[in-house]
Amino acid sequence: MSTLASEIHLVKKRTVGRNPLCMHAGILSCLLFLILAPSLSAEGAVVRQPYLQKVFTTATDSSVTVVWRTDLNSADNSRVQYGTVEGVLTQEAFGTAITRGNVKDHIVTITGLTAATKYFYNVGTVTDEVQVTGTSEHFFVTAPNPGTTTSFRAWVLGDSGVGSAEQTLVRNAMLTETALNPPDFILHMGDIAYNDGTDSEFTNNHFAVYQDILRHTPLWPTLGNHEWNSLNFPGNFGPYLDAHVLPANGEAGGFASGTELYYSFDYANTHFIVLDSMQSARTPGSPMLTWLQNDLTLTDKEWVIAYFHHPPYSKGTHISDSAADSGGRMVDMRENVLPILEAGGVDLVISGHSHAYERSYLLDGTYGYGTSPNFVTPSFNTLLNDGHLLDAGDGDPAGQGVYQKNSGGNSHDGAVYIVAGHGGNIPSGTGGHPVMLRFDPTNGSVLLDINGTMLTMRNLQAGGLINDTFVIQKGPSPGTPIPPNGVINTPLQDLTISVGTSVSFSGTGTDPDGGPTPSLTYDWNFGTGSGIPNSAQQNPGSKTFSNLGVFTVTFTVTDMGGLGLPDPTPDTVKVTVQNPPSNFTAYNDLAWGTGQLETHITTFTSPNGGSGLPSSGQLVDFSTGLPTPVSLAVTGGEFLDINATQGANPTTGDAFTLFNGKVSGLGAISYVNDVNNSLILTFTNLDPSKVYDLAYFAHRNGYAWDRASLVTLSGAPAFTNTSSVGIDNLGAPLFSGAGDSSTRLPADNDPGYVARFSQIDPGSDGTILLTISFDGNVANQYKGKYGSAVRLVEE
Amino acid sequence: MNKRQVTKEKLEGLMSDLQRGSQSVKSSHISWVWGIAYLALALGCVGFVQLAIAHSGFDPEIAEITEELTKNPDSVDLLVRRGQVYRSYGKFMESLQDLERAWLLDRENRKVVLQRALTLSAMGRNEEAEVALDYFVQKESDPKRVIALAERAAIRGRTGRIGLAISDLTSAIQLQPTIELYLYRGQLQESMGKLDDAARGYDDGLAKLGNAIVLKKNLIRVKIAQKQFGAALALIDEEVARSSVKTPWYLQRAELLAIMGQPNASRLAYEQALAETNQMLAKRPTVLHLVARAKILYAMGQREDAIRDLQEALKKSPGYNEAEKLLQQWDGQ
Repeated sequence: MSTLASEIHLVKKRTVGRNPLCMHAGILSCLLFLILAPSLSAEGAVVRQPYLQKVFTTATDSSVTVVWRTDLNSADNSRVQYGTVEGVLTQEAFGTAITRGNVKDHIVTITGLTAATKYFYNVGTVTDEVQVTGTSEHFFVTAPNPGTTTSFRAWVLGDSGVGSAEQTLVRNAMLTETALNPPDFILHMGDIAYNDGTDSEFTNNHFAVYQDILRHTPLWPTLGNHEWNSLNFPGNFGPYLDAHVLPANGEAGGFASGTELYYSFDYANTHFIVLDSMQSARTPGSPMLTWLQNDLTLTDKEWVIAYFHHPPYSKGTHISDSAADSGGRMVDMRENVLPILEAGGVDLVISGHSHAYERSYLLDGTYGYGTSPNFVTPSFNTLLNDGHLLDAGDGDPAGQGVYQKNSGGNSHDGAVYIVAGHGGNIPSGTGGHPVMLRFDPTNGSVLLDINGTMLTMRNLQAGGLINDTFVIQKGPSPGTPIPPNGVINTPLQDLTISVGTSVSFSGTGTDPDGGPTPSLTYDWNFGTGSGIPNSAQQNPGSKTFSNLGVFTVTFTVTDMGGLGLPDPTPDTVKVTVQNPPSNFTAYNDLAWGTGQLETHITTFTSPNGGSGLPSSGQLVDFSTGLPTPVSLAVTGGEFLDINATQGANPTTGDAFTLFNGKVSGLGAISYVNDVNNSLILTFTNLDPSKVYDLAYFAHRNGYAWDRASLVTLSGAPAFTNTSSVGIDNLGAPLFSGAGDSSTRLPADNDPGYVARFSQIDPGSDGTILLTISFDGNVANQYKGKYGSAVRLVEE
Repeated sequence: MNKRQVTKEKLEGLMSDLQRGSQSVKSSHISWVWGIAYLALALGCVGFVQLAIAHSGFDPEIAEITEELTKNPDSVDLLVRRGQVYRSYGKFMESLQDLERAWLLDRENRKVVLQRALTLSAMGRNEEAEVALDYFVQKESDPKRVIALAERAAIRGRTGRIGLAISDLTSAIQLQPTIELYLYRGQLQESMGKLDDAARGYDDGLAKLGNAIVLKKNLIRVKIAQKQFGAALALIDEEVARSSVKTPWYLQRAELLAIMGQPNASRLAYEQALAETNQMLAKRPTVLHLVARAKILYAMGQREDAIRDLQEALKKSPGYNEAEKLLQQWDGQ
């Protein structure tokens, strides 16, 4: 019933002073809507129709959050049923309703979705079944993979929530204009619910007005001054935050802000930054600005778009030059925030607050003028002469031409500033801000389209007229030939190797002109005197350096179709080939990527744990860093839980003597569950004419229990067991004598025991194995396969 | 309709009257030039008033509430609302006037008590504010206590009663944990040398609020101050593993390893930071990355290259705060 009441209320409100026939038609349409509307369970009436939040895709997951509100009759066990075929909603996701006063907010996050895919859904609870039946309009489309150049459209709306006829006209104009290509999401500039952002104002002036859009189009909001009236700070609760589920943890891309008041998210090739110009501190060094700087440093997206409520430039219903206006927030945003945004390569800045449409030239560095309270922006001519108007044209492809920027995020390459506070409240103001090319005190909204390296924005008046269009084009003008680019993927950096060692080479060639990759040709030159012939393969693979010297390897990519193109700059890597060290000492850290203390060690570890570290390679000499001829490959084992595996550096015993200060005991590996799946360290290419000393250390801090590892040497015709003398945590001796090929190591290993074999004869094949397994005598011992580090000495 | 529009309409009305006047004058066969003169005068008036409005800090929201108050001058809700907005604009005297009046009208209204206390606190009238906040904290049970507790903590903090401030913040965090509360409490704890408490607090914040960067950096700083280098290194390594762009963390790792007396490992981390920063600069040649590279190069002993990067950054971004500071610092050495 509350939905009916609010709809009737709204219709009445919108039709006051108009034709009474219209009012009755409105009420009738509402009644019809309710008759035809999705069925409502008597068990829980829907107060806010379902809407979408946090639609994002990361490298590992695609996720959507569905929110709706019911009365208290609803059960708490919220459920969304969904599927890719309309009416076949075979998948389910669950949540728990939050009771707020006399309503319940149901929030269900669906994860594990496929990127860029349309899903249909309904909402309800496990107890009440379906509360809103899914229709063809109840769907969500997951975000594309981050970084992809998928084109997308956003609807930019500001200062809308007055519940006026103008608000509805703005909405309808957008629906008409985008009927064939609706927006993928909405960016809201704040003042979503007038006058005070109360709960009922959100329901009536926002959710009721846009419910048919919000059920399939996610909205990313920023806090306006009218929402602030009902915001409880620093408790950070109130209707604005209750209504929205926003990425405070950096889960949608960018850095975690720890607050929903400001956040960021990625969509395709664009990074969106949402700031709070109302409540959060805006001074240099404040948490929000510190977060902003970090967030900007981390993004690698082509486009960066920032938005917040208070415009840095405006002469609409607010005057941005005046520190007295809006508590100086507009001045703060301009003077403190824009320098960071522009240093970070922002392309577009959008705001609201001023009830008009205003749009700037392509600007840069337009701040620092005047003093409090009047920071008067100089005239257009002064700004132009000072180099702050990077392009004083209109940016319209049908007019004076598009705004051109370099690819990527070059600092101070220019940004366009927009005020879009015309979404419903009554526009006014004089306009005429020196940075602004357009001023339109007419209700409307803005459409943002991004297609690869092209950004298009259009101002859409409430009457349906598009009266401003501009385009920012990244990269060179269409038609200008661009040289291709070659990047060496492996090796990643200069390296020093022993003579006779192989190095794997691979590269990537890209053609910014968009030509097909097969049209590129490749040329690898492995350096004069290396004796390795050039290769025309993109990935020539393993090459053995048999000559001593320093060789500059170049990778050149050429565009076959690009007549007259400049030669591409080859990518290079330097390979220094030296004689291998003899009588070396090599350390390998078996940790999961943490804790290595010195540079001249290797970190090969099992591939099964997901550490990202290599599982095989050449050992290096600890004193010189040079690769030794000996290779180590780590296989086997099964990783369970890194949190249970934190070891410690040895503080006593043989482990302290051999390993302290060389390799960390932190991050010991743990292998469990498969009794046969031992961890195996295979050493190859040992010199049969020499003898070796092999020591192994394991520590698993605080996890002794009854576990122990059994460390066994094999493949060596002769050796002497010189392991630490002691007992394990079951009271048994570690090994039985010098000829014993196995040694037990307790899991916690606080005494600093090592398994050690000296005078090892590697045999004619030069291969020895160290196997870490379980003893099998006690129930839990099969879980005892631990390792921190290993040392090999050639004597 | 807001006051500004009323004013504008009045002026437009005046202009219209003047135009009508000009028509009647014209009908009296007086030169049309008079009409233009009147029109110019009217337009001038509009411009002047709008200029005056612009520079007086006039705000449509306040105008709107004021207009509603003229119809209902004893509305406590409206007075509170205007008092809040005035305070948000830094107009504390106007805010207090409204809230005092609201308080006189309804002394039991806790919303009034709280808003009045917040304005008094903003004005630096600490004792009066604290009395009101004490009352509110005692009487109020709903989550709004958080606001009162936080404000009382701020008063206690700036009047040197740090222990009490911390206690208030702890109570506030228990009710509603937010990043601002954690940061403020941590700052006070650090100022008292209670580094264990501060670290625990930041850690708790990270657990409750997700991996907020500002909390994480504070926690690492405290761990280093406590000489718990291993723990600090582990925190940094978590971020190295987690982040797609690792430069800031490599950099911090390198600095920490240098403190730990491990120059080789430190250099390796700097090299990793440098390699990634170069890659980032190729993709997004921003001033932020230039400054980051300058710091890396400087730490690696390549002072001239570092200064060149800073100069390049300042050329692109004149007055960029961090670059200016670093350049001054390094130039002075």
